[in-house]
Amino acid sequence: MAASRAERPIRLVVRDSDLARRRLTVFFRLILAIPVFVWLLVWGVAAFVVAFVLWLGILINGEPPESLHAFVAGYLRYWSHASAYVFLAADPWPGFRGSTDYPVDLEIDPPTRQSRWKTVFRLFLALPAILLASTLGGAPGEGGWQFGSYHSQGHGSEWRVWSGVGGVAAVCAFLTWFYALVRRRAPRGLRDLVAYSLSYTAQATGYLLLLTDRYPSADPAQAEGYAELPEHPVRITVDDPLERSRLTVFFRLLLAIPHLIWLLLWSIGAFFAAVVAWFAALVTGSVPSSLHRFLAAFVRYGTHVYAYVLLVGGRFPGFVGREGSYGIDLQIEPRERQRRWATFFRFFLAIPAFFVSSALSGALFVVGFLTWWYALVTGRAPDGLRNLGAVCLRYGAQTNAYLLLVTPRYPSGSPLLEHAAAKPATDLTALGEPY
Amino acid sequence: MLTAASLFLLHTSVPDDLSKASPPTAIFDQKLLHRAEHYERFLDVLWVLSTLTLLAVLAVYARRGVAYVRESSAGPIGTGMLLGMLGLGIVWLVELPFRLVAHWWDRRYGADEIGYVAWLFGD
Repeated sequence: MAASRAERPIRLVVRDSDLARRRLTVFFRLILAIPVFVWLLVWGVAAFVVAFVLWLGILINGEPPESLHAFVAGYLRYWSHASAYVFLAADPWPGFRGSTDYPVDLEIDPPTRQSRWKTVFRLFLALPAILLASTLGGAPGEGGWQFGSYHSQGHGSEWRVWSGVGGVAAVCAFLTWFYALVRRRAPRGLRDLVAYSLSYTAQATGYLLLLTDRYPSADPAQAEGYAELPEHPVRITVDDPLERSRLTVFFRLLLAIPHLIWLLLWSIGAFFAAVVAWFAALVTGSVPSSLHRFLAAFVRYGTHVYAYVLLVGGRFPGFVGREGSYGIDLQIEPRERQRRWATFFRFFLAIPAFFVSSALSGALFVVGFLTWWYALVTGRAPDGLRNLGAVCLRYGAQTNAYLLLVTPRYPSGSPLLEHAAAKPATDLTALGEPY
Repeated sequence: MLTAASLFLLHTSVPDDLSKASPPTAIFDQKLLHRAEHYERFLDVLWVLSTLTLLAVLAVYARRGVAYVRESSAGPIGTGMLLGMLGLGIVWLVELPFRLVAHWWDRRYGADEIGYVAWLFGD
């Protein structure tokens, strides 16, 4: 997979190994970022104008002029610095020149020939990537792609607002702000998730601004260079072919109706089981094994169903949440002792994780939407989107498992799907695949 | 209650001066009646075609649908649900073009004024 990262023309480099943050600059981060925003806006307007000239240049010569390419690349690198600073993925103030030693930086390959056809329709071709980027990291200019509208009522409003200001990255930054004020360091998982979100957004923006004609890849494996995957009692396994039956893809929501009804009914039972488990854990220090099995099966079944509905998984899942019965599966460790005070406050402790989980759900819905179209045309799911979907599902499952007392371990925000050593050899012919 | 109403009706009689309903030609002109007949005939033919197509597609599905068992990780009952829901989807998909034609026909004869987009989402 290292070859895959090296192949990407726009790569994120993270040198923020100690994760240290100064409380004072964290506290005033948004105020400190105002000059950066102003400069970014000015530079952004110029970059978009230059990108239009670049577009004409590529249409005429087939290759972008080097000086214009360098100008836009410089803007994108500065955007990555500014975003990393605002989203607390880096600590130093980024200045105005786009220094080469900033802890979160982009490596952008020199200009190469680009397909004229892909250039003509670049704006339309970039739309799916922009849609996904809007739910992950926002984009240059006004602090985020203005995706969706701002409504003040209804459940969907919060998600839309978060999407508008940076999606997953913004939620992670919001939580990191509190964490860093207390601990003087950024949490590793959230920092990695922000870096991954910025990485994808940078690729999408670079594609839109004609720095490359290589389509952005959402594959979380690209985060291997800077992210860690900690051990966790709730792990996701992906052993599912990418081929999809077009007919079942077309009718996916209809086919999922029995599962959605069953999941709803099961969730009522799971709620009461969790209440009983909470009292039992408070008294005895651990959840009774029968309740643990019941709740673990519920969490696993929910993962199966959402994987099916959102096309992360291909086959119709079973109805009992049995381990090993589905291609996108959860491995859940046996019950363990839980600290009573953490059990007592479990609901409140889970709230930050729910913020991240809901932001990742937004990305997951976009993954499902894009995969639906892609699979209808090609008959298979894109590798990168499928893996990103699995990462989102894992976070949701770990959050539910934490809330339902299946595990005392807090969810991990790591964007990696699996340990680098555990990854099988990748077919290099798949490197050119979009998403 | 119905029985009581029937008993009361037994004692009633039809008035002698009640005139029979007039034939349609006495009310509508021949051209309009012909147009109504044409409208109805087309819908009848469309129904026959749609039913035949549906039966043919369901026959194919009955023979080939077993291949979709591979798409299921569920047990026999769950897989049956999958095949059943898929059948529902296929029925909808097969009938959709015929309904579209019928809607076009209705609009053409002024029997319906809903636009195609509204109809599609309403359907």
